[in-house]
Amino acid sequence: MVTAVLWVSGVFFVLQLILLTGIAINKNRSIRLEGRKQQAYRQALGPYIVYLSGESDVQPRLPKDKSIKIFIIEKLLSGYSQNVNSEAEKERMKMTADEHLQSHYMQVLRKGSWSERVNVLYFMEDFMMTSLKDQVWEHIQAVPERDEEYRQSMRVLASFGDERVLPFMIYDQSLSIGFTKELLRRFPAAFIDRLKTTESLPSGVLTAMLSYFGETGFYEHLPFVEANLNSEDKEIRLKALAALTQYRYYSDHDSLERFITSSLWEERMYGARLAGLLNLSRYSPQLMELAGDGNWWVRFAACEALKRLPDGEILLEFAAEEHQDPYARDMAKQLRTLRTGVTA
Amino acid sequence: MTGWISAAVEVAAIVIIIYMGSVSLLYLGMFFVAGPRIRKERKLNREAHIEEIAMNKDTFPVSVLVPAYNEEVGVSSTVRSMLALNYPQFEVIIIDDGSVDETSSRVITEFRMIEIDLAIRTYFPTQPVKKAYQSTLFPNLFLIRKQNGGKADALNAGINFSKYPYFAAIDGDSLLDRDALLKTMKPIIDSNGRVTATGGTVRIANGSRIIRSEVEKIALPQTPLVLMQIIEYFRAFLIGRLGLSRLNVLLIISGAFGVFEKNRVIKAGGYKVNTVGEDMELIVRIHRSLKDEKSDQRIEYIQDPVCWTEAPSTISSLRSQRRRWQRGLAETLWTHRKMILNPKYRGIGLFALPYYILVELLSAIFELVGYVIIVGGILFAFISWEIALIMFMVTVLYGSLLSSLAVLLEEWTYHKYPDVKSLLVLFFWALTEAFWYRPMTVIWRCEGLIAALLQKGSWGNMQRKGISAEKEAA
Repeated sequence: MVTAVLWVSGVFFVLQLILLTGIAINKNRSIRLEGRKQQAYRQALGPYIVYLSGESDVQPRLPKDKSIKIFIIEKLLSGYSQNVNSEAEKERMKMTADEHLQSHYMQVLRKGSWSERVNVLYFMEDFMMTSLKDQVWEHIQAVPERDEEYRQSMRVLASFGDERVLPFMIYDQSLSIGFTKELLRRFPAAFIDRLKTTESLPSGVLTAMLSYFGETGFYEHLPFVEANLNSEDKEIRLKALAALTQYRYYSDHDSLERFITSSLWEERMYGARLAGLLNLSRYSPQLMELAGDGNWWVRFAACEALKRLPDGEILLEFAAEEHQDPYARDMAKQLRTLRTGVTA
Repeated sequence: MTGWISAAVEVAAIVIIIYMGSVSLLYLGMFFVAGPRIRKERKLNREAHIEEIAMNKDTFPVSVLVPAYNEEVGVSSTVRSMLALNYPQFEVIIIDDGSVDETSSRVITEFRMIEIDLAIRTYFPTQPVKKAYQSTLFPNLFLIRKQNGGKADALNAGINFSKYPYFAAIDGDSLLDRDALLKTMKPIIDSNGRVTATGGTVRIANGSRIIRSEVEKIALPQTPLVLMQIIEYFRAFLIGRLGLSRLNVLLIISGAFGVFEKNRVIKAGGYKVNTVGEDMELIVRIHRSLKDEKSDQRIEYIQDPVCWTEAPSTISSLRSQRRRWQRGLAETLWTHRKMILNPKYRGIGLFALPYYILVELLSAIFELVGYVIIVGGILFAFISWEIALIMFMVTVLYGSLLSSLAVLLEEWTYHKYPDVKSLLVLFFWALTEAFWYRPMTVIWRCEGLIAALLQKGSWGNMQRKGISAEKEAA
């Protein structure tokens, strides 16, 4: 027994010492490699920026070591892609990425580890490597789990304007509204127009579209948003209302009444917000009433809206002192002193 | 008579050997459960991973709650660390829980705050909130001053005051990485709300160079007491919590930093005020409410180191902390005793709670008895030298070799320490754990158990030195 325990502990300890030695050697090596990479990057940075910006047509030479070369190109282009503006600059960035990274990325997509694959998918999108569109399309169909790898593959295809991703987006029920919006932000305008005319879209996609339209503030989408205020689906109506608060516009001021007096507190809240944002003084009696609503958020929105009206400070003062509802008085007092900003 | 005592001691020794051997195996099992996830994400480009949500307007806004009691030394740097967070929309709420020092006045002066009137919702009753302030420099920074009611009461008051659907609870002495909120919110966003609470790895900041509330250079502290706590944190976070999270039975999200869905916490009833282990107690209650509702929501732990905290650097403050932790653990387990071995609560009832009782709570007693037997057995020859030797080896295996494994695991995953020397220092200090550090903490944990039985406790009175050096950098 003693021997067995000694053996187990001894073997475990020796194994750890071996591991420690391995890790220490590896760490030492990687510290030195990192130093070499950084030095090579510093040397390449200036000449490469000159080349990428088009001031020179001669591509600077890079170290022969593949890992150092890839590190330099990825780091250079990552920084550069954040600031690139003109089409010519973008084209040169794509060319450089294709020349130095394309074959490596294809290999990583086939044989790399999960994190390596996800990393190259991030870079592909940043560097707009549209030449790898078909490889990404093949890849997404083989991705086993609906995780970051799947989502990033979809983002890449959406950025590349690959319409094959549309059915994925429409029919994949597992996608969140937030993620659907991420795709919408990447789509070319033609895709968005096609979606607007598609019948019986799943409510998740429709909700995401309404939210996205509010975010863009593009007036071309406004009729679509307003049309959805009549939806029977409460979530759709709420998203349309939220979008309008971002547009800060509503063509039919009279119809606001039905939301301000709705039985749903969310509709009352958005109705109050819109009335404030649009400076609709005629709704001040209703807003004063909503300041004493049973729901905290409605009270908050109503007092915030009152504050925004042309004579808002006086109205708020009145509510703070004279409102029959004590909660309304508290809220009005808070809004007198609190600095706020309206968010949808 | 002596023979009878010897036999009893020998039986106890064998039980302890089996216990320590089993727990060591369990730890190794959890290491293997955690390993694949760590391996999978090891080389992930973390910046690119959160780039999307950093700019996304849909990223859920978060209220950052910072309860503070007599934190005048560190509160300003904590606030600055919070304000520097890289996150699209958030508010920071400092809750001064009736401090008797300059906590509030420091915040009011430094961030030019003015008093605001209050219309607070009351999801939970708390000690009265006396005043609230808003910063004129940062409109998303608030301070509320309330009567003393303890950390849990302060957090409940913060929830009442907060306006966003998620909140992060942060200790007054913690510093967060700039991307901490993004990283911890990512599982919630990616899962479309199915993840209801998340926590990240907490690291010890002592020894590192911290300028203007940001960790600039990671380095080891000189004090062995703090070094050992660094190793302990590696062991707890990298081996324990990640494994439990993978099994969806994680029962602790550190009080130093955790993110929660507000509605879920409101449904669960908020923080419990009459316990010192409010962070763990809340998580167990959330699990309970999820299982009662048959909800498919889950609690997740992310492996990224996102939060930095000041570790106790004196024996007395460490002792006080460990007593408090042990007492909190005991109280939580006692409060939720009906869940233990109850099949209705599945993994929580059948595995996590028994695990916490046997491994986290009672290990202090087993280990203490073990140390007494080794020392007493050798001195007074109560047990055979073979048993004493086996016990010694198992104790070293349990106390030191698992910790040194955690050090290796940390280097393999994050290699945060910039040189080989730090790795060697940590490894060799880990090997000493069973000989001095563990016996000490075992005694304090036993004291905590006794305190739990006697119901003694308070906010905790660690003497802070402050870990950020603004003035040097100014």
